[in-house]
Amino acid sequence: MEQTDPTPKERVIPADLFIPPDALEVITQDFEGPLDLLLYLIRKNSFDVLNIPVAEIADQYAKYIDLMQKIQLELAGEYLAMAATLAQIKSRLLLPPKHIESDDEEEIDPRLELARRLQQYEIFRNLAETLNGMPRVGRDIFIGHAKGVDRSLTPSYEQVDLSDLIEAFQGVLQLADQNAAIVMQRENLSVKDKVEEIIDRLQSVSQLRFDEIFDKRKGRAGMIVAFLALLELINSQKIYAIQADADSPIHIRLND
Amino acid sequence: MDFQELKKIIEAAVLTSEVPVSVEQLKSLFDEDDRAQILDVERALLEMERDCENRGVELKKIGGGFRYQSREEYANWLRRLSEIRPRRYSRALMETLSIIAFRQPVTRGDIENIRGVSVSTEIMRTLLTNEWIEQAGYKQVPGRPALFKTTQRFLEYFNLESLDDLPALDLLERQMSSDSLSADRAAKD
Repeated sequence: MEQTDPTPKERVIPADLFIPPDALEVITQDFEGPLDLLLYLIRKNSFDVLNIPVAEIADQYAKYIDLMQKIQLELAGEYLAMAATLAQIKSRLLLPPKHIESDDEEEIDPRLELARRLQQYEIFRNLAETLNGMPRVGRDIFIGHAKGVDRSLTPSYEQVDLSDLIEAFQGVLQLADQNAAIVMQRENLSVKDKVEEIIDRLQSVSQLRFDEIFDKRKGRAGMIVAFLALLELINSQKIYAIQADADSPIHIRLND
Repeated sequence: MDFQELKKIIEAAVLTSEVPVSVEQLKSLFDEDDRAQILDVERALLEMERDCENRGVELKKIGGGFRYQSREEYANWLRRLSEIRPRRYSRALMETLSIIAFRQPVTRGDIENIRGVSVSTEIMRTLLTNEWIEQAGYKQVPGRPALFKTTQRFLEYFNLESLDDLPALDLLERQMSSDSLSADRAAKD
């Protein structure tokens, strides 16, 4: 059953089973979940979403899942849940209809709920594409700004050294102590998460002011974690810190 | 104050603002009892819009306010000027954002139902730190899950005057449900 296509030239897809030669390629292009994979299979076979031949699709789906597990792709539980759902629908369709007598609800086609979910997902998948194509700031349009500062007078920036950073951090800590709030719950603080957050934020804005890195609600521990993340990023040269002169605020920027 | 003077003030106000300026804000620049001038604000904005016809920038109404922005067709050139490359967002992030935008307010559960996969914490954090979405209270169901909606910043970033500028979702959905209804009928036949 596995070998479906002995002729390398013409790719003949058998009616009952569809494991294309490019299956691996398809899998590695990252599906956004079981609905995405299912939609792909349905479209590829030119099936009607409202009239899915569940038996065939369930088999194909299972083959993909097998393949994904074979190449040890990290497989989310949702994929397996969907395989189970498909198998269940398939078995229900195999049973003779109107078999169960006392069902207060009229038996409906079990494929309908799946079709509804697939259609809904497809709508949002398309909308996401539309949204992605819409003009956006910084990519397609740029905002006109008169910043109120004469650009020719903009001071040249200097690199900041560790002692400047520590001094600034002490200032921020003092502020935090002043509005020390009651910490309601313990949160897991990780330098790694903070590192990612800083990078994320710097990708959407050109620079951050030193104190914007710190979330005062996270308490002293949170601020130390943030500071460590900052030092780590500077050390690995992912970001750099600058300031116009000794008294002006320190700014953080992404290194190219 | 004559009209040309008023127009210049409005132009300066719009150009120096960090965020789009609403008509209300612009009106508040002038004395309240000076009715004639207040009426002139809208006329000035219209003229400013027309003044841009032959320019690389345009006056646009975004998220209820006005701002000057470059015309889309010049993006290729302007992009070279900015140091930071515009960030690409994953399909997962855009799908999540679309669901929030079109179905707001929604819970994480609503998003998971539609996408069929659990919502990534990282995606929600990116959307929140970009200030494209914000919490909008809690849903009054067991567990009281947080509700999310899009922000003013979302409109500004995606160049929308209001949420009505998004493609009409209800149209798509109505079409979809009528399709399933006919399928329902077909299945029962």
